[in-house]
Amino acid sequence: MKEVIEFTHYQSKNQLDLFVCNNPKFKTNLIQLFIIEPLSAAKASKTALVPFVLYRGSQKFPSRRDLKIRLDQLYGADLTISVTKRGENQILGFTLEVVNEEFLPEKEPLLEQGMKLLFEIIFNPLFAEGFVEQEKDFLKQDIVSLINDKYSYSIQRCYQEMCKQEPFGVFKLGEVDELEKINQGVLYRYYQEMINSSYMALFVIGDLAEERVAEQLEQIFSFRHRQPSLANNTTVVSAVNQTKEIIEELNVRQGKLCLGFRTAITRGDSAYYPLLFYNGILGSFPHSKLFQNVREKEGLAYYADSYLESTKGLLMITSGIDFPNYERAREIILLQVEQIKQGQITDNEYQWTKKALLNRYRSVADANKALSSHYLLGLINHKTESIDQFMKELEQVTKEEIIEVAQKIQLDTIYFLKKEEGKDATGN
Amino acid sequence: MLQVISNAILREQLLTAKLNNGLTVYMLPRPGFNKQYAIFATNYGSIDNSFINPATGQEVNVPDGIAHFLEHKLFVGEEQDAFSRFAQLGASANAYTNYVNTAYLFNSSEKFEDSLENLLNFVQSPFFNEENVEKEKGIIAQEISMYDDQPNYQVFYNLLQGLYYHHPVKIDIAGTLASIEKINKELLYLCYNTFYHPGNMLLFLTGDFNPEQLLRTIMDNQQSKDYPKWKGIKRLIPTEPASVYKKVIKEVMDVSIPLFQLGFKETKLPVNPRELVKQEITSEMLFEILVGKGSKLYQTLYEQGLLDDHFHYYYTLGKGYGYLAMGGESRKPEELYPKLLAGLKDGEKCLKEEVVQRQIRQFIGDYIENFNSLSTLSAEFVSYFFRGINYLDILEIIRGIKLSDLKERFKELVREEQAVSSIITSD
Repeated sequence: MKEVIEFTHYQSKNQLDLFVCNNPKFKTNLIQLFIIEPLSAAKASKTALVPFVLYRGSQKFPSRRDLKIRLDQLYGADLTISVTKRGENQILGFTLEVVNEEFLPEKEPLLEQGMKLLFEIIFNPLFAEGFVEQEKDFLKQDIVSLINDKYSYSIQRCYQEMCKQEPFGVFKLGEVDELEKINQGVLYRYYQEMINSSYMALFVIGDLAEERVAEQLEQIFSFRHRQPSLANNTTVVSAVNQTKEIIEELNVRQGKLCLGFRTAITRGDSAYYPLLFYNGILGSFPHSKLFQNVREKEGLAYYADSYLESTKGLLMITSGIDFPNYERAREIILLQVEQIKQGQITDNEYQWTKKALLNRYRSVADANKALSSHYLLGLINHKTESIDQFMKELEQVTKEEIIEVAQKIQLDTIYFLKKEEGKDATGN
Repeated sequence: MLQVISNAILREQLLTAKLNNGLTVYMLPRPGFNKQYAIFATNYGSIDNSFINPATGQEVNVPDGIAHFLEHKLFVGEEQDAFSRFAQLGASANAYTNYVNTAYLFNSSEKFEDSLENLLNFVQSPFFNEENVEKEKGIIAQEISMYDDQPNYQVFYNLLQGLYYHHPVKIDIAGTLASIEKINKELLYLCYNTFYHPGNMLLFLTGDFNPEQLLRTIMDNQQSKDYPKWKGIKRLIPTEPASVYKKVIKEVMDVSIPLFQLGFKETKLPVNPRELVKQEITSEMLFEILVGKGSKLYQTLYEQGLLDDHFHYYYTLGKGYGYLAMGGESRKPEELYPKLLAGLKDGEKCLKEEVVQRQIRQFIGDYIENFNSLSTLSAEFVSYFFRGINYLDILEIIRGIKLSDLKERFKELVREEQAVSSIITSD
């Protein structure tokens, strides 16, 4: 087995956590800054709005167009902003990727210029009133247009019903009502508070000299900042009183079935490794029980998958089916869950899942953004083991441990999106 | 045995060999990666639905969606399905069909040679029977329904309906619920035998491996199989008028905000591979300058709230077709269109030497970045190979683009009579 990569941790004078990784296989250098906020209905849309306003222009590059021209000059540097939800944390990500100048005819210090540009965008914003008002409109569109994507919409609706009384039910971009209360003054004060005292981590990955990059980061990202300790703001709920069944109607041609479960196991727990096996045996590979039974054996669906939310301790099963097959698909899916609970795991299912998981985590080390996401998730869950260590833990998981984990998994909510009664597929 | 093609700027070495049965093999070793990646692709996609049957010499027309159906069915073997064998070896497999190619692929981090043999063997040993063909129809019907519920897909599909009269690029890759019903095992074998000859295929490997040893494995594997001499394929592509079929297409779906596409039908369809690829990249660059996120036009339309951040554009050329498509979400597509069209027509003044040099930098950066991902790299390699270009030559093509090329492209492509608009609204 080849060496699998680790980050070196540095701390800057203004207490930022810097994670630098020298990895000669990449032809680019990746710089990412993450800001972590507690997820709440009251603040989610405010948090989500900030990066979009920042991306509209800075003191030095006063419009989105000026920013884009600067990025093009840096050999098509990619700047992306992201708003994600991990457990009950809302994470703002600013990602800048530049080509390693070793591969260019002209050797310009692109990494350093990229760091400076990223700093400029986040910490020297223009924050014009017009930007705030317009980005509010666009963010509102984004929140509302979730319904255009019925797959993501059904999953969000299932989580929303499942976690009605918990912050996790809040959409990652927040809610329209709260968004409408925001104005430029409110948002600017919120932004200042955020950059002064929210938790921030910087990641850099590429073919680079770690010490030197850490020094550059320290020098470029020197702003007034008081780093709090990284708190995972998530409350894990394990009890399910009664399974809910929600059926909704929209103008759709295919039914979307979602089953939300509580695992109460998170990335920080030692039971997380057997949980990955559980999920693999159930529904994340072509050899999994869901694919084999719902699709291959019964021919009911094109997709039938399961995946984990590893900070809140949830598991979601999704499948797209014909409306009349609802009962049958639900029955077959729940039968697979029940079978694992009763210990029905074949040697092939166990062995193949182990190999597939190891292959997946070796792949993580080959992709710069996957590598930083993996590490960030560990950071949030206060378990930052290397990928090597992670894989060693996986190799030791036994069938008994998987069956033990299976006993803890409880069905919370069944959500089914179907066609409106009395309407055909064209809405007439 | 292996011929070496080096690129000093990218610092990569590409190795290639052509086997006796006609199969082309390319390898791009990438020391340091944990993964190995293999892709086995045929020059056969959804548009190849009319051809001369090599056995009879007769013209045949096969049901729409059959290339994609075939892709699904090849995974099912006589004894064991290919997915199970990959799972046993610890590899992760997949496949895709587009307009022009069908590709089977896997990545692994152990037992690469065994998985590679599995890849070659399952693609080269079809097993179709009535029962497994019928069951697959149900699965594919669900795949088609899934796309029916995606307005983003529908708005693009409708654009192609407006651009083309006859060309099969207007047909859905997966076919329709009605067309897949007509598929049977005889038709599957006919298409398989026509398009899956090694002479029509490419094997591309990348990752950390020993090339000579792999080549021996591949040659031994191929020598154990019998193929008739490769005689090429006669594909029949209907004559497509230069004009567009329909200027405006509208549809009603449940959407929170209207979706739109604006397309230009290409009239210049080069046959020479280098010219074709150069035209493709020049056209992309032209639209980056005219309406990319660094353009005045995009900035203005964004500030007027007519376009948002989801706006994108895309240009492609294939056998007998080519088009530019751009689109996204807009609150007022009716107000946007005239402004967008007028802005594009007025865009010639944006074509300046300084701007071209900046865009060349951007395109070079994006190209180099593709080498970070073995899967992106493999898919790009396949797509260019079947159009006659080695992906490593793209850098030189980008650097060779001149201001005059962009000016010429502007005159050829930005023509109102070639434009089609597609809109999806909620009422």
